[in-house]
Amino acid sequence: MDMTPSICITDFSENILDKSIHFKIIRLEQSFFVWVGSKPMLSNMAVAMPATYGQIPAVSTLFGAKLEQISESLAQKLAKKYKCQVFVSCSVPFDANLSVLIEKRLAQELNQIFPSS
Amino acid sequence: MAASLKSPIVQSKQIAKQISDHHTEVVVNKFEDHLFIIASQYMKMGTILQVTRDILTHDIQDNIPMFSTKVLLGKDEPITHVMAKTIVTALNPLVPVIMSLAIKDTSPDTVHSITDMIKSCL
Repeated sequence: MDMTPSICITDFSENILDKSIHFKIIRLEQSFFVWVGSKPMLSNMAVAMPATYGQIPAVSTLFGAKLEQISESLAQKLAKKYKCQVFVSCSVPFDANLSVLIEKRLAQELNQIFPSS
Repeated sequence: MAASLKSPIVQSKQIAKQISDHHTEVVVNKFEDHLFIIASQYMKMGTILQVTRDILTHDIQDNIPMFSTKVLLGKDEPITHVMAKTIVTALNPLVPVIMSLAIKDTSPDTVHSITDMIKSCL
């Protein structure tokens, strides 16, 4: 018997600095997964959890290269803001300007998904 | 806006079913280099595993696929490896699998039902 799924998947794309950047957000219970990329690759994954003591969320890379640490820092920021476990996979090459715009676009979408935060 | 209307670059399929009184959900994300499967009865990520195909010569392998499992996050229990191997062997995918398992009931029947759910999403 098929039931209504409670896990929400949101897909969207945006042209940022002449690059087509794709996003995927999977919302689970008390946690969510974010994928950002220009190619359909899952090259790394980081997880962050809000710290019980202190301000900075604990973060770790599950697999893939942790060079540049884009996924880790993004996961950390999101875990701090939404106070839940966050999984992030970001395979966009590091670019200071691009990263800021990606975070901005992501925040815009996440604010719609989590209006209370 | 036009970009958002196009079909997503990474296809995701999901299905929800009741398996022996447990609400079970499966999400399959088809990345080019990985298959990312979420199978959950808690609606959480739970234990995350990486499943890769072992490279063996054709003579030894005899067309029976072998897989290695590695727990990336969560409880590293034998049952988790057994479940992941059972599911992935049945799927026999061409790419490595990242699997997130949060299962309440680890009976063989449930694992087979979950495998069927994942198959229907491929």
